[in-house]
Amino acid sequence: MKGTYWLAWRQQRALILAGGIALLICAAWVAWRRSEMMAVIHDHHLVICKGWDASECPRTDTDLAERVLRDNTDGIRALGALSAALPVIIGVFWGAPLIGRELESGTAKLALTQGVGIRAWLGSRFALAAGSTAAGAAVLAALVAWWWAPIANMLDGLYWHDGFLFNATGPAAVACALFGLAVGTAAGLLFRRTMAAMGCTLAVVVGIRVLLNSVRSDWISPTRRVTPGMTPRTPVGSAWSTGQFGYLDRSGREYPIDRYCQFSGAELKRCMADHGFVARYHKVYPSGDFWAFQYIETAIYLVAAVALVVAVCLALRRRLV
Amino acid sequence: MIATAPAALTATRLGRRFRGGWALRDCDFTVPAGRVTGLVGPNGAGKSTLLHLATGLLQPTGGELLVYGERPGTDAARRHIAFLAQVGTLSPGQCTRIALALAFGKWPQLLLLDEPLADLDPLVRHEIMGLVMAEVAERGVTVVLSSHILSELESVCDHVLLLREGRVRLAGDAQELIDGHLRITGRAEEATDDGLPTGLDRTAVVASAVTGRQVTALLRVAEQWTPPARMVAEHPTLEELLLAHLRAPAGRFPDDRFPGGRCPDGEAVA
Repeated sequence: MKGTYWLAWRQQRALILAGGIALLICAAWVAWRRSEMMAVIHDHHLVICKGWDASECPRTDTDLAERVLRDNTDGIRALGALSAALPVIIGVFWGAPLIGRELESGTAKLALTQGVGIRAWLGSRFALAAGSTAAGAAVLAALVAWWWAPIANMLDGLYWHDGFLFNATGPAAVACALFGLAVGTAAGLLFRRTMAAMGCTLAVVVGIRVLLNSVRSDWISPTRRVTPGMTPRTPVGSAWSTGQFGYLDRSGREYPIDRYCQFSGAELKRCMADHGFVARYHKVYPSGDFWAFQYIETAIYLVAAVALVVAVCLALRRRLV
Repeated sequence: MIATAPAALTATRLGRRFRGGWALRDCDFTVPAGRVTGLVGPNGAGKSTLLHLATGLLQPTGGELLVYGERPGTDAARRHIAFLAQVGTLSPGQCTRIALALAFGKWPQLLLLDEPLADLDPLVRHEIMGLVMAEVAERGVTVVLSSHILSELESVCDHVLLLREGRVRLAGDAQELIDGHLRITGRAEEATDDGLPTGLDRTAVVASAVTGRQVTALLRVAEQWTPPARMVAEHPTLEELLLAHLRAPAGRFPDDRFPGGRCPDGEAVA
């Protein structure tokens, strides 16, 4: 390694090595916990049941399934929490000092009055940080998915739309980690002080995360599941319920349940007949929508990250001193 | 100034503005190669701004500064330059030595030192200045050294660039400047406000002071100038000369176009 890459490696190797060791420990722990889980599933020939309703899975040994879930859910949740928090950790401890500390201590001046230009200096240190971030986030996201997949969307276990999972796995988790790094880098340039940049990064990344979690369901329209007449609605299964139930009249118009026919049995039948309702509906996001949500969020994070990096490149020359 | 020597730095209408105002404005000067130039001025005069412009870490707002004919910040210009900034985290002594070693390790043609001695104790300061000057003499490096320790500049600088409020107030060869100034001392005239003889050309007075019955003034003079009767005339030391120009009110001379009383935040960049 030569020049700015050597410098970047020399300055970031402690973070990279510490992160690598932490990941290795995580991977070993996940491998051990997952192999135990798989052993129980195989030894007892557990039939995996998808969805909430145990009555839908008569061949599943529910007690055993509950035990497997009980033994593993906390672990997956902890790993998921770590993976979901990774963008904040990376943004605060890697992104914010990436330029911020150099400007604060004046070492950027020292580096940039040697042989290399600003582009090579910024490019190499950001590339190393971004590469390590992407690799680390991808490994962590894959570990979450690997452990969770055999017992995914089962009974009262963890579902694809849970924050611990959705934010912790898939391409969106990797994109969000890169976004965190970009926010930290930009904040470091903006404040030229490491501590202030750290605080700003924490607030921005957490804020954006919370915002996206709260508006996620608006991005694609849910699937309307219709059951004719009084037939009870299809079990929600592994889908993500929107909480929108109701009735349809002959023309297909929707009548939400919070205003119409909050009854059951004979009363319901009479009420439906009175209003001319011919079917019931339930709006859900089927588990296949996981990928649509993931790609949308991946795109949002990546576009934001690229925009921030471009802004940093444009502004850096003017904020060196 | 030796007109034929190639210039290490050439500034043409050089200006740099920060949010608080102009740190440097309309500066025209050259720094000759192979000399040790002292960059002098009070805090906020634009010394650090000037050195940062030469490294390419800052871009000028107007005008142009060339380093051996190259634009600062280009690979060619960077090769010529080594810069020792006021690095906040460096502790005095050993670290300054390391930073200097790093600067000399580049084999620069032009060494820019931004108040390198500010935080050092007198012994270390003396030792380090000796190191720098030994290297400079051996390698023929051009040095621009900013400082407000005027007494120290006297022993090392053979060229001076004095900045005040973002303008070049004085520039030239140290010996020529000394030769072009006189300090006159004598009995204060009671008839005049400033205590100087009535016949004296006031536009030549850089600074004057009356203490008791005695008046002292520093004048810009031509070679064949005769001091007033009953006054002692001597060439000032470089320190006295610089001090007088630092004390002189702004706008004293026709080439000082900058209105006084404003304080650009040039030093804020350090």
